[in-house]
Amino acid sequence: MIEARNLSRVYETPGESVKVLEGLDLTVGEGEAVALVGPSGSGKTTLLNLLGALDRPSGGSILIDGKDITGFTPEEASHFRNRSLGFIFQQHHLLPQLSVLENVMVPRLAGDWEEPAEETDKRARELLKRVGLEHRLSHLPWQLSGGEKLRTAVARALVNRPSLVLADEPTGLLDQASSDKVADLLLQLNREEGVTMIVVTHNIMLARRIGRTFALAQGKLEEVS
Amino acid sequence: MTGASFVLRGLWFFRKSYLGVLAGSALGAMILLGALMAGDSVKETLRHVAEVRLGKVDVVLTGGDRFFRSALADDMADVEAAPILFLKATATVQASGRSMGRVQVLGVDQRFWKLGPGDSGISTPQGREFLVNDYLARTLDFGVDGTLVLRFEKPALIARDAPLAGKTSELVVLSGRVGEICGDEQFGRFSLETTQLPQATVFVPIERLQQAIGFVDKANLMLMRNRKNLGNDELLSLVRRRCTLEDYGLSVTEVPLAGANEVRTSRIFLDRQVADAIRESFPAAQPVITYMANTIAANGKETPYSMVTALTPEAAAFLPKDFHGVVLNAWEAEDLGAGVGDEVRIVYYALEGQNRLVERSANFPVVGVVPLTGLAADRMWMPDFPGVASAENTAEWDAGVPIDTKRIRDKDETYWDDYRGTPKLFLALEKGRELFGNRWGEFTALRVPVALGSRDEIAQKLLDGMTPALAGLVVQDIRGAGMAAATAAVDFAGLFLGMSLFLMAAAVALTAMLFRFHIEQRNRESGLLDALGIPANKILRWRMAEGLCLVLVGSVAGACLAAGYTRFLLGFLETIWSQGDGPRLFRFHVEPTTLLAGVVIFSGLMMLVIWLVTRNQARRTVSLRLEAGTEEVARPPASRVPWLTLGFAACGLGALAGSGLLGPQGAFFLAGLALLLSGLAAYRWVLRRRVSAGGGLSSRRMADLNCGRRETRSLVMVGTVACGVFLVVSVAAFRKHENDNWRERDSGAGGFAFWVETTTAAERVDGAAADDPAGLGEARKSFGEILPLRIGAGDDASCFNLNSVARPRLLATDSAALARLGAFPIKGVVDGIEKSWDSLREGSVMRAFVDETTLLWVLKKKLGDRIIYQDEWGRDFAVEIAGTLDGTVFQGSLVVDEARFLEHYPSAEGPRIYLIESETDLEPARAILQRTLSESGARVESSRERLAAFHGVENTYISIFQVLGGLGVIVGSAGLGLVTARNLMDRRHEFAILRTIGIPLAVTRRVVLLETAQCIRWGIAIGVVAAMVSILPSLQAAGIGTSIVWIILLVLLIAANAAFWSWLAFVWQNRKMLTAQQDFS
Repeated sequence: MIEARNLSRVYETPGESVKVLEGLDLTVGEGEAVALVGPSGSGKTTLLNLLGALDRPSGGSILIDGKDITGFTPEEASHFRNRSLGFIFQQHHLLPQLSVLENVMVPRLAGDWEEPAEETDKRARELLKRVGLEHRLSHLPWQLSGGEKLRTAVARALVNRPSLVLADEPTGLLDQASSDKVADLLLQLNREEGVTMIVVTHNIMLARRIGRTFALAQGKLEEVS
Repeated sequence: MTGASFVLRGLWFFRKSYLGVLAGSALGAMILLGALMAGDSVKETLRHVAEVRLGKVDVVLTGGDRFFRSALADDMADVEAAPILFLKATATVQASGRSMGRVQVLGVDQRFWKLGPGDSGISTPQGREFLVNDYLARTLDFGVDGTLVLRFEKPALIARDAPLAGKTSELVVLSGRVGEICGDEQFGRFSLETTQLPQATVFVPIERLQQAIGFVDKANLMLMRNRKNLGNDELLSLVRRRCTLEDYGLSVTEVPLAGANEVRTSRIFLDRQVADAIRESFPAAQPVITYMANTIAANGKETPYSMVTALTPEAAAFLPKDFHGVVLNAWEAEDLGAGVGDEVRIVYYALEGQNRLVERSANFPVVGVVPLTGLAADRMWMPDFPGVASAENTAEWDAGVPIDTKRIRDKDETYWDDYRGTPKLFLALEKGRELFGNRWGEFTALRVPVALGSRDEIAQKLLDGMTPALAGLVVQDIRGAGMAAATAAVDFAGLFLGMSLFLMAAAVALTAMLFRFHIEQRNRESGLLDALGIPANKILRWRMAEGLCLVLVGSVAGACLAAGYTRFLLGFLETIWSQGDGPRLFRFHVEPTTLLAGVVIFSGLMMLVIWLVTRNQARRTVSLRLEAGTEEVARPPASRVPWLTLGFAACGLGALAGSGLLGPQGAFFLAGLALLLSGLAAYRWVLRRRVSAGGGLSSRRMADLNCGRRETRSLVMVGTVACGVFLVVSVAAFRKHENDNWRERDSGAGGFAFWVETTTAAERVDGAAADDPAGLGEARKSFGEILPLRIGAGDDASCFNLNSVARPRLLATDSAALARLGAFPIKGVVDGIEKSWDSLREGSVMRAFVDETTLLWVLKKKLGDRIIYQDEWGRDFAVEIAGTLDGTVFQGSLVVDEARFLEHYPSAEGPRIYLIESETDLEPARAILQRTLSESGARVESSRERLAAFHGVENTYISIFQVLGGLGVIVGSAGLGLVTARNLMDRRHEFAILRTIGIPLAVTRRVVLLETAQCIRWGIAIGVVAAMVSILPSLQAAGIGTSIVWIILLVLLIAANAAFWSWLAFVWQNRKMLTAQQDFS
């Protein structure tokens, strides 16, 4: 359950203040998938960063599963992201020095995971099988196509069994066919794993498939049908 | 996958990128460790030299010109002792005629070799055989079986310049076949001088040398090995217990007619300290002064060359109780036709001013005439004046003073035959002290009444009251002093660290920059890791771990390279202290602790820099790192007034103004640093102003914007060039240039053309020869002023000596003559005294002037500081550094006034150094001097050569500094190239876009070149201004023209070098720019 109340974010730049979000409210139920649309510069990524505790709001609160993440210390925020969140970026951000399997396992590097490494390894392999990359386990990122890189990033986002997945333009760099495949995958995961999902996208088709869609404009959020 | 494997994977994957970091680390470590290794090597070299120089000798008993029994060494229980007869001579190879002055001649026996550094396997030379050391053999180019001729002055028991000291000079010639050549390990390097430079030495059987100089069974040096580790007091006590009156040069003689025992000294005049000690032991002892009067005159008659005695009525009952005036003996009264009430005039020789013998006279009333019988006719009043006491007749007198034998009458000869030196006139003691007292003493004897004990009892009591120091025999812990001087030698580690500072800073800055590039390159990775919940400190630790691995590997590689680099530095030093074709002086040596400390210090420094770079990057938000990549965050606009620039500039100028307080070096470095920072702040201010100024878009505007876009990189580039220019320019300005102003009185040569150093000390000059102190004779008229200098205690503290010198050599001269001539540039004096040589004669403490270079770099002292010396009797006295000289021939010595010097060293030998003025061409004049002074073993050096030799050392240091600075500039410029390349690489996409929208590649290139040119231009301008302003107070007017030409050349070279590296980077990236453009298309 995500509850953002009266959320605002102002960027201070030399000579001026830029209000990106202002008095924004958002509620997303557990296991729900939500699409976030809006023009460029409307603050979609900013909102995603706030929800992912990558950034702090200038005002308002964000409750995730009852916890106000805006009051987290940097360590608590890291722990929260590592255990409860999955991130999918438009640029994938795979580590070039690691293989596909290792990239999926990267969140374990935070240490103090109670789960044995073998378990994580097993799940990582399963996830990669689900995204169709079981034959690419030892490949390095530069040996993958754009779609494959994204699917690796999806597997990485799920390896920690997150309660919430935040995806920023996951299909932004893909062609239509690849976009559809990724959309299928995300929706399947949402349905089968019960993962809450917030997807920032410009892709109207993807937004429609996700179902509940919010539009962000001039710092305000509005649900659209 | 663990954190460790993640780090290792990162290291391997980014190995190419990390190669630069590794190379930078290796370079930095090489420079730091190289400097430390050079320091270790110099210290080890000096320690080794001290070891072979001193062998197993711990302590020495030195007598200088005082001689003790060589058998004293036999009496020394608990220590292994060897007596030495130590002289200086001129050595000539008979076959080639090549000769060398100031050669050590050591009269030794087998005990000397046992004190060598190891088992020398050398036997004392026998018969007419000499042994020589390797240095002498190499210098004069001769070998075993060659014949060597030694010429030296026969030592005297009393200084040659003392009146009535006997024959003024006697040359001894000794020749021998060279039986063996001793290397360093065979004790061939033995020397008492604390220097790493070898001394030419000849070893002669001690008996032969003793016989040659007529000092049978005598020595003037004793080496001791302190096997039982006795304390200093115990050693002193041991020496004191074993010394006899003979060792102190004292004797007790019965004087039956006086009813007394007379204490005499072989030095004729009893040292004041010895006389005081005797009078303390025997308060009733009566002083006696017997002296030669040139004339005793009265009533128009005169008696030539007569002994006169000054004494108290207690010493001679025939004197009136209230004794004043003079008492004549009957012979003299008759000769002068004088009686009680008449006035007599005594004419006598006195020593005045700069060792000049002058005739003085005094008138006295005759208060009595005494018959020539009994005590009044006692021959024992006269001490054994050398050349007089043993003369058969007065014509044979060789008293060491001018004697006109024509004046001697037959009746005078008859008196000599009948009464020898019996005084003809007696005068009151106080008058005698006033007239005849001199720096060697006042009394020729002290008479102790027999009532106080027998001769033996008095001798024993006298011995109990004496100490070796009172007699001028000084016990020195030579090993302690030698090792301390070697250990605390010129700090080459510090020197090279200082010299390498810029190179090291350039290497560290370059490494930090490369690491920063790498970190920037991985910004997205760290952003991602952060986003995935990896704690920030863990990411920082991984980055640090990667850095540590690189730094450690770099340090190990640097340590290996440092071994070669150190040898390069030692090779440079070898050019200064090279011993011709002899073995290399410097030994490569590394202390493990130094190596470890160096690695730890360097790694620590690098890790600090890496931590700063990484932490700064980690502070950026995750989203910024994910999105911005290598871009820098926007900077605030510049304020209207460049406060930071003005503040730093004020600090710099303040440091220059306070150079008196900070010292010239401190002021230079502080001012330099502040002005560099001021320049960089100015550049940053201008950059920000330009960025925020707006205006039309042109190539220049684009260049400004691009420089401001990555402000840190631009500042690093400008700073690197500025530091390099600053260093090279400021060092170049300090380079010493030869010029022809040595003929000027205010030059470093003082207007004197030659610096002549003789092996034998000068004789005292009398009468007409007073203007010829060097004894040039007929050749004198070819030369102008001659300034003699006496050499006193202390070691050479010039830049040629690497050892730490606590007490520099004292050079004593006539300060009034220097003041009259206005010779040599006096740079500064302590507050409250006149900036003149005359001030050396003033003040309660002995004052000295010293060359500023010696004061600052060797002594590390300042004006007004005092240095403690020991006088002739081992007592401490202070010498105040009252003034500094500017680059003179006196480098390495303290110049003091002769008269004040002689107060502390009355027995000091005569001058051995002469500064000689010459109006004629140097080479013919040199030939005349060399020929005329060959007998005294003179080494004639032109003042210009001497200054050039000093400048040569300083310039070698400066060259090392410049080479290291130059390497720093190259490294810095290479960094500039790398930054340029990196900038271009990061902007490939940007260039491709420009190309795509139709901007010609030429315009893009122009923008890039303008950016680079801007950095180079600012760097050079900041460096030159900071350097020129900082060195202003220290800049010497002489040779400034040459310096400026040199500086301009260097700046042009630096600019060309920086442009070359940037051009290389541009060419390298240009191809990629084209590729990127194609890719983009």
